[in-house]
Amino acid sequence: MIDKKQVLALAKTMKFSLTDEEADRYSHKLSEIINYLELIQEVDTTDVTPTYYGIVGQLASLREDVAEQSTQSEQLLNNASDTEGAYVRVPAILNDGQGGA
Amino acid sequence: MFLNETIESLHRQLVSGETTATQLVNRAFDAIAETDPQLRAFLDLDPEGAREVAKKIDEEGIKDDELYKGIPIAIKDNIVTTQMKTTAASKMLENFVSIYDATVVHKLEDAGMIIIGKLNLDEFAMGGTTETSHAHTTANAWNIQHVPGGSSGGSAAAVASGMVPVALGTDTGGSIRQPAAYNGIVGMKPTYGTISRWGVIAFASSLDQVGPMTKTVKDNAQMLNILYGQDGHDNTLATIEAKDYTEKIGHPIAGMVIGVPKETMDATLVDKHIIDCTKHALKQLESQGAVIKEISLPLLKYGVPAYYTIATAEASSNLQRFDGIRYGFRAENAQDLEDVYVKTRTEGFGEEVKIRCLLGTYMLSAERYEDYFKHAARVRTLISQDFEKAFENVDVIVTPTTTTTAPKLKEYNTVEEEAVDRYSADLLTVPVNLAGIPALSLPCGFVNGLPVGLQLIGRSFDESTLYQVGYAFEQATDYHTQHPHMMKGEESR
Repeated sequence: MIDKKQVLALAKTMKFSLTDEEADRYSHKLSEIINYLELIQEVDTTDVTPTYYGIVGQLASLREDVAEQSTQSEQLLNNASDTEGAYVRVPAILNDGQGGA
Repeated sequence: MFLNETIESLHRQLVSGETTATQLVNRAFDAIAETDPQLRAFLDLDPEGAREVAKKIDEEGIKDDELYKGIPIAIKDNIVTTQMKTTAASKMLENFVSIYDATVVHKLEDAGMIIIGKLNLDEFAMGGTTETSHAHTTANAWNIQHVPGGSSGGSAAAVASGMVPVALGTDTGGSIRQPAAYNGIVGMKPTYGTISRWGVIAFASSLDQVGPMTKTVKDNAQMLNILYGQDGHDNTLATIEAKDYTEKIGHPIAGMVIGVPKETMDATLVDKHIIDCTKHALKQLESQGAVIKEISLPLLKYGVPAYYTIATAEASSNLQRFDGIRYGFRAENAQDLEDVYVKTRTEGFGEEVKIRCLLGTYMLSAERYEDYFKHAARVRTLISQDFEKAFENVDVIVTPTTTTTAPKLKEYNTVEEEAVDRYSADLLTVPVNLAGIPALSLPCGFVNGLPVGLQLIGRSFDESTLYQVGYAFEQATDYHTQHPHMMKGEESR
């Protein structure tokens, strides 16, 4: 079970807001899903090593960390919705009246 | 249309001068103009760019050993391109144009293929119907009142309807195989580590793979031949010696041992008509000398809950990057930086994405991590071991690809489906992703005019054997030569 308060706390962590109606609806939906996912609790996993990676039977390939010259900064800046010179502009970070970065 | 064409048939026409790359590109756009208003498989098209590439190819000429050169292809819209937008079917990226091309895009272009458009999907590939797309819904090529499946629903509908001869999809929990099954085409989820994900928008990184979606088994193997291998960018790629995935195509399957997990032939879990089609397919394989052996995958039913625990946890982390700052959508009227993040993500993500991010965050929370996420990762190990044990005694495992045929689109569906029912429909495909092994879906029948898929599961890096068995079945049956009814009589060149 997951209640509305918990859903709102999770949404805060994920940095999106929910309306009252959404929080209600999502808590029902999520409770139902979590209830179903709990099925795996039946499985005895004592002494089993968890698998976190998809790699099959071998290690990830490694390479030297070599610095490369990138010439794409202008194109990259074009992807941002607000820029000034060679910077991405955002609204004030601190509410101290000192303006943004 | 490309309904009766293969890579080889198009190549022959190009080499003999019977057709040109320009004509093939025009043929694709004509087919799209005729068919896509009904199916709505495409999100973006590049007619000018495609015609330019085609013109250059026609000027250069196409040699006998340039099998792929001049052949049009379309790709799922979670694969980044510089020539077209890449939206992942999300408002978050609705006007996003990448500054680089994905490795698979380079590989297609190096082989001379012409990328003509981007295909619809569920938002960030999260869904099995293509209905969570922010742009629009795509219809099934066989019946426009039904879903094309997902999340590579656009790719499947476009190939099945003959708008393009081949397409690329991605598969995290069945997103290539399920829509391939629903649309009567061939789809491969290769072994994890086979194809680079550089430039593929991440959903669940320990599960995601790119794969080809084609009309025939041989086309599929030929596509994998140009897609696999290291690129210096994706460090999860395996070292695969130069190989030809068509090497076993045409080899007899007599004596091969095919395992059928009894849990997948359970009529309480899988539609009985689908079980009948699967039994019929097994008889066909048996008539070619294959030995059919009942096996057991006792942990099969735990695949879906383990998958949704792991995949949503990874997704909640992967989707943190969409913050409205460096690229993509940014909400207006934000008061401060925090407000930019929150408004952007609130307005930019759809409901399914939000639900899955919430679920993933829950799974990763300090109180739940051990009992949920870590436990699911342990169950994942056990599921892999189940497959390993099975492959000690069998060469290939055969199951149905899906539990039902393509359901109706929401707008035609009178019964509201619960999330749990939708998730549990992935029963037969997700264990394969958890184990990282390859699986191929190919057509094996029809139920009420809708296609049914047969899933062939193989040992790690043994795609060649799946193509061998798939080809033997395909050549002995005529499912792959049947076309959607809406397309009948419209074949023209």
